[in-house]
Amino acid sequence: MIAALRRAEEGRRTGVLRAGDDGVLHLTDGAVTFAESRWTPAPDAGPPAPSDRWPTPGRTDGGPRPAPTEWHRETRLLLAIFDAVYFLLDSDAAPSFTERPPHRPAPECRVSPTALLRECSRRREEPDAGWPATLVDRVPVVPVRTVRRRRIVLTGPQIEVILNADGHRTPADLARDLGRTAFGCLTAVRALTAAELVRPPRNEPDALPVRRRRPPARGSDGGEDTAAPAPWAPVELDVLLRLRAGLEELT
Amino acid sequence: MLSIDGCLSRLMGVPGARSVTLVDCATGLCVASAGREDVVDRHENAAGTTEVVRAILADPAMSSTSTGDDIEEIIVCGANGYHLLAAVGTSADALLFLHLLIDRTQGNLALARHRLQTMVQEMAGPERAR
Repeated sequence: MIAALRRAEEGRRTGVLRAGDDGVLHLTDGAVTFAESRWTPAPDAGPPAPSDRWPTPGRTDGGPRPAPTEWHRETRLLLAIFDAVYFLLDSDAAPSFTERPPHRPAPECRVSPTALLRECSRRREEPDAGWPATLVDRVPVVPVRTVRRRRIVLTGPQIEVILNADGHRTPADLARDLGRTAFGCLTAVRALTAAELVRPPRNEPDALPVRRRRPPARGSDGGEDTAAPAPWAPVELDVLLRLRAGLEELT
Repeated sequence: MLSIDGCLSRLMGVPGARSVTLVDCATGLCVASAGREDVVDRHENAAGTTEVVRAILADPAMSSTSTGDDIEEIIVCGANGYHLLAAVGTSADALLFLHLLIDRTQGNLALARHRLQTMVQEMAGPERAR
């Protein structure tokens, strides 16, 4: 996927990069203008309906919300692109590129694959608190019953997640229902897990070992390759190494 | 209509403005930026800003009331400049902060704060304008 994206950028290609059924990237002149994945909310999904939201002070009539402004739409689209690509890079489907006319004649935003890959590798570096990205749609968020600490301060997104976690919905489900990015929800879940408000994902039969997602840095975890199921073929790790070399060249 | 680039270029018009970045603190993503990029690049900038904002939001000592306080703005004063971090209305689907860097000799903190807050209210849209 990374290699396919790089090739599309180098060739300044216009078309659709598809990762099996996992998602698609739309490119114009080698820049990503639109992205969708099965893990992340659709770019135009937007925030929840007004009825779900606490009424704004002074506006209890529940009247129609003003249409999103241009910068709202741009921001939403941009966040959705980064969100989708972050999870698509882990897709084990073989990527295929199809030349096509631009998805939108005048794209609202264009993101270079270099910036995308760079941001994704930064996101991978974040501590995962037992929640690697591959669990985003596999393990439900289960709040703990008893809290050991006397006082915990949470940010808005963390509160949204803990209020809506019902023991059944996964971080990806929550993101969809709350109109947030999947990675943002995952980050909130990680913080909540670190604060001991959410149970760490354990004993999940589907769950891949956490370290599988990292590039094989110092050769210490090479032994895990054989034990893991097929999707994570060595070629993927190769690509990650090349990506890292490429990123180091850029800096 | 107000576009992201429109917002940023107007903030760059603030006297003494060196750089301005729109950061999504839910993910640490630099949504957009304008101005100089010499010391740190905009993505590192966004990641660092996110760390600061998260630390302050999660710290009970940084609250002025016992029940917790809503942080509107974080100001970091350096010997040569001010960093202004302002929360942008939560009606968008992200935890967004504007990071404005002002030169200390050419800029004016009060004026910059005023302009930044005006922009934040405008970005929040008519729904939240005061």
